[in-house]
Amino acid sequence: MHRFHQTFILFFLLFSFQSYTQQSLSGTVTDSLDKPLSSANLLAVPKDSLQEVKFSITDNKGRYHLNLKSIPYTVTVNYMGYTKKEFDIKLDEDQSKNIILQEQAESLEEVVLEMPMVVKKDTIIYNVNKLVTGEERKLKDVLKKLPGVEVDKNGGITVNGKKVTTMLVENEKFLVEALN
Amino acid sequence: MKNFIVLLCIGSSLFSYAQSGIIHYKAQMNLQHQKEFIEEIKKDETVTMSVKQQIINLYKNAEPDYYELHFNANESYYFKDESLKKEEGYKMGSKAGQSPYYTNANSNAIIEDNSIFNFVSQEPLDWKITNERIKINGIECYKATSTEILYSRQGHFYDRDVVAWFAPEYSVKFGPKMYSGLPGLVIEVERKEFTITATKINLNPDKKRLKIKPVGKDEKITSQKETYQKIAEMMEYRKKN
Repeated sequence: MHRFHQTFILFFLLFSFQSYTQQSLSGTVTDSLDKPLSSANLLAVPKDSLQEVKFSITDNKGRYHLNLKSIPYTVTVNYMGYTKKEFDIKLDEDQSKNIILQEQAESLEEVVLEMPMVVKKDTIIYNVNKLVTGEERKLKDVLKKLPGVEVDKNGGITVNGKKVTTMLVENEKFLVEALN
Repeated sequence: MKNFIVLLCIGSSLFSYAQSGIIHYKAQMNLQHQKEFIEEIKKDETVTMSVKQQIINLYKNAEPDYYELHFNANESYYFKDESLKKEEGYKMGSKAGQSPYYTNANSNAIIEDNSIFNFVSQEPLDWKITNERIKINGIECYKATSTEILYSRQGHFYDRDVVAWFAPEYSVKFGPKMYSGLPGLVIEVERKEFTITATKINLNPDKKRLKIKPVGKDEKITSQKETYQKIAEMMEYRKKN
């Protein structure tokens, strides 16, 4: 009985170590001329969507450090003006990895983006002015132009595959049936 | 001559990835918060009817606030753009704050330029990133959450959950107010009272347009704790008088 207890405890300890140990992935992010890139970001997204996403921002020497569990991750490395890099990794022990990013030709250009919509928990607000051409005759035509929105034959609306239950136009409730 | 050309090429590539930008943000009071506040004030029996009506009107006519975030590789400056405000007496804003914020990534400092306490250093937030993502204007955004600890004028601590949506493809570690330190440009921040949303993203702008006002080395910077102490003292003083 005593022996059983010991094995049980041992087993439990081993098991808990397995699930809780963290391995570190570290190294530098540089350009093709070996110049360190500071403020590059690394995002380690676990394949298991219930696990936490880990991240690191490189310091002024281009160094990064990620503490990862022993589960598969997809790591994405971003730095503006450079092509993003992606790789899969599953760590069983600490590992060092240096990452080299390639410069994009158009990196010097000024970029201006106008944001046409706002996300709010379960509501997406579209600023329609930025998306329509003025040739739309029905609201249905406008809806079809919004990113992710689909209108079926019966007037049912989906956004990214999810059914829309309520729609507000200029903050007033709008009946979905009125579309046809 | 050949050497000279090679040198020139290397030189230009060193400067080409200038990490700078100007982000415009718009902050609005959340409708839910507005409703709740109006319900609360209607129930409050210590306030007279006419004052109640005035407060309710202020909340119902709350206007958005506009801000700009200017940043280079190491520092950022976030401030309110007053030029878009209509000038007709006192208007309720978004509750997203009036103070400018200066952030220095090298010294890890976030400094609020507060109208009462002058320069106050703010603690960086501890972000948790979730697997939830959404596309905004074709830009993939991840959801990050954190908890902000605040100190009320009544002299007690309270906390607020913060949700930030950020875009990793734009490697910007600065954000509005003290909502920075995320691995990507902050597109939206939502707290109980308000929502701050990016309306215009301008990367690699003309250097002359960047407005970054650093906090001088010899300026006195108060810690957040010291300000709490001062608030408590002020409350004590008011009670006595």
